[in-house]
Formats: sequence, structure tokens, C-alpha cells
Amino acid sequence: MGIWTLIVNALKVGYLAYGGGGTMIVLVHRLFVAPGFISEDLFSRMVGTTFLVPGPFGINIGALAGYEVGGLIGIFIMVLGITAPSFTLMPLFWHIFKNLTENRWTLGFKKATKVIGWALSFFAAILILKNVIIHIGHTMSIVVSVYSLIWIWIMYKYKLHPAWFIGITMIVGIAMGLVGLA
Amino acid sequence: MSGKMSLWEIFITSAKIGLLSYGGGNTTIVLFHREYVENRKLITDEEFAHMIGPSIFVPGPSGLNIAYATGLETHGLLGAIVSMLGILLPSLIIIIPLWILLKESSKIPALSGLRLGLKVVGGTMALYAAFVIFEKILAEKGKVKWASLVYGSIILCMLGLGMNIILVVVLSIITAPLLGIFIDTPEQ
Repeated sequence: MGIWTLIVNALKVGYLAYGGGGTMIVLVHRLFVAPGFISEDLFSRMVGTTFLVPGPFGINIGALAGYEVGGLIGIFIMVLGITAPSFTLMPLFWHIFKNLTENRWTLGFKKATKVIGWALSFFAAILILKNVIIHIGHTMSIVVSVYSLIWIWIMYKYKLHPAWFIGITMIVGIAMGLVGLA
Repeated sequence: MSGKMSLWEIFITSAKIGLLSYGGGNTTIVLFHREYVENRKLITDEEFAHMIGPSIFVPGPSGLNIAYATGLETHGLLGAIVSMLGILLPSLIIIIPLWILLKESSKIPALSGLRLGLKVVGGTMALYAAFVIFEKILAEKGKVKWASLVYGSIILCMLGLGMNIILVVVLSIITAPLLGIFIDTPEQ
């Protein structure tokens, strides 16, 4: 990927990032994975790694994508692109919102970003899970799907912190690899 | 308010918040409120409320925008930059070496399970995030709930039909305020 394309992509990811992590995943997928700069397999693992660390999700996934296509300079450009809206738009929006009371349109926008987050997270999940499932046989894909759904249910029902799911899944993955199942 | 907090303190405060932020921008906003409004009393509740508005409307991680705003308020533009660096640097310092380590070690045949583990974590967590937001949408009242569900389904349909994702995101952002039509008298 040329440096110019990377800069443009970094700005696209930065300025279109409404709705949180799901939007970031989908945007990075569209701009880096779909054109073939990063493989589907690598991308799915990048997203997994992003969930292992704290901090803004968007920065982390962006930095990994930048690293894969351009090393340290790639990280720098991506981080700059994703932070650009804060520098350029915050002063402007701050000024606008200082004298603006909450009205139906601003409230509507806030609620809509939540909906965008929902739709894009769901789409992001499909993008990744599809890639997981097509690479492992029928039986394994059923096992993995059931495993995922059970964990989602446990995390939801018992308010279990995702760190449990992440830690245990990594251990299970390594163990399966060791016995030759993965 | 400038001068009550050194740049180093701003950096350390942000770094601490960054490392404690797990699970999205809302956690970060709550932690910034605790540090700047409750503990240090450098920013009033009203000033902080004015920061949250723009940090939601400005694209990008809202945690970063609030870091920018609190830094700007306490130490000018330099404070804003330092505050953002405080959020960014710790997670970058952790994630890049971790990624290199995980990527390289999953090339070892015995550790090939790492690849699958990471992918399952990625997919499941994205689905879980969607599930958590979906629950919040279902908790909305009356018209807003149904309008949100229709709006979300339209976005999903456009994505599912293979429309250009950038276009879908731009269209969603432009039409976003229209959801306000279904909100009952928020002015009062």
C-alpha cells in the first residue's frame, strides 16, 4: 500500500468512525482487507488481539492495520488519522454545542449512533465468524458456533467480565492445538 | 484553570484512565469525570457536560475526544496533546509487541491453536458487543425503539446486499438526526 493511500485510508477511518468498535472493524476491513493488503485470516486475529488490551478499541485496531501495511510509519499515520477529528472538529463542535441545548435532533443523532454501532458490530461479527467457520471442517464449525453462543449467554446472563471468556478461549485454543485439533 | 495540573500529571492521569478503560468509550468518559470533576475539582459538572456533547458528535473514539477536551480545559492545546498521548501510548506499547508475539508464535505448529483462539475471541466479542447494544435499543420506549430497529435493519440490509460500506456509513451518519422525529418532546 502506497503512503498516500494509507493517509487517505487513515483519514477515512478517522472521520467516519461513528458508533464505536464495530464501525472501526468494518471500515478497516473495507479499506485494508477487501483490497487485499491484509488477509482475512490475519485480520480476524488482529481483531481478537485488540480485545486482549485496554484503551480505545479504534486506535488499537487502526494501529495494528497500520503496522501490517507500513510498520512503525504505518502505525504513526493511522494514529494521526484517527486522532485528526479530535483536533480539527472538537474546537468547532465545542463552540457550536456550548450554546445549544439538547433537542430532538441531537438526541436522535445520539440514539442513531448507537443503532449504527449495533448494525456494524453485528456485520463485523459475521465478517469474522464467517472467516473462522469456512476454514475449519463441518463438525468444528458447529462446535465453535455453539461455544461462542454459550459464552455470549454466560457473559450476558451472569454479567461475567469478558476477560474470563478471552482468557479461557486462548487456553482452550492452545490446548486444542497441542492435541492436534486446531 | 491553567497551571493547576502539570503536563506530567495530565499525562499520568490519562495513562491510568487508558489502562483502566476496557469496553468502550463510556468507561473512559466515566473515569475522566471521576478524575477531573470528582477528585481534583478542576472542571465543574456543567463544564464536563458541555464536553460530552461534542465528544459524541465528533467522530473517532469518544474516549479520545474527552481526553482532548479535559486536556485543553486544564492546560491549553499542549495539555490536549499530552492528554491524548496519555491515552494512546500505553495501549500502543502493549498491543504492538503483543501482536508481534502472537503472530509469530502462532507459526509454531504446536501453538497453531492460538490462531483459532484469537479468531474466536474476535468474532464472539463483536457479536457480544452487538448483543449488548441491541439490548439497550430494546430498552428504548415506544416509537423510538421501533424506529431504531427499522433504521438498524435498513443499515444491515444495505450491508448484506453488498453496498459500498463507506457509502452505507456516510448515509447512516447523514440520516442519523432523523431518528429525532420519533422522540417525544425532548425540549421540555
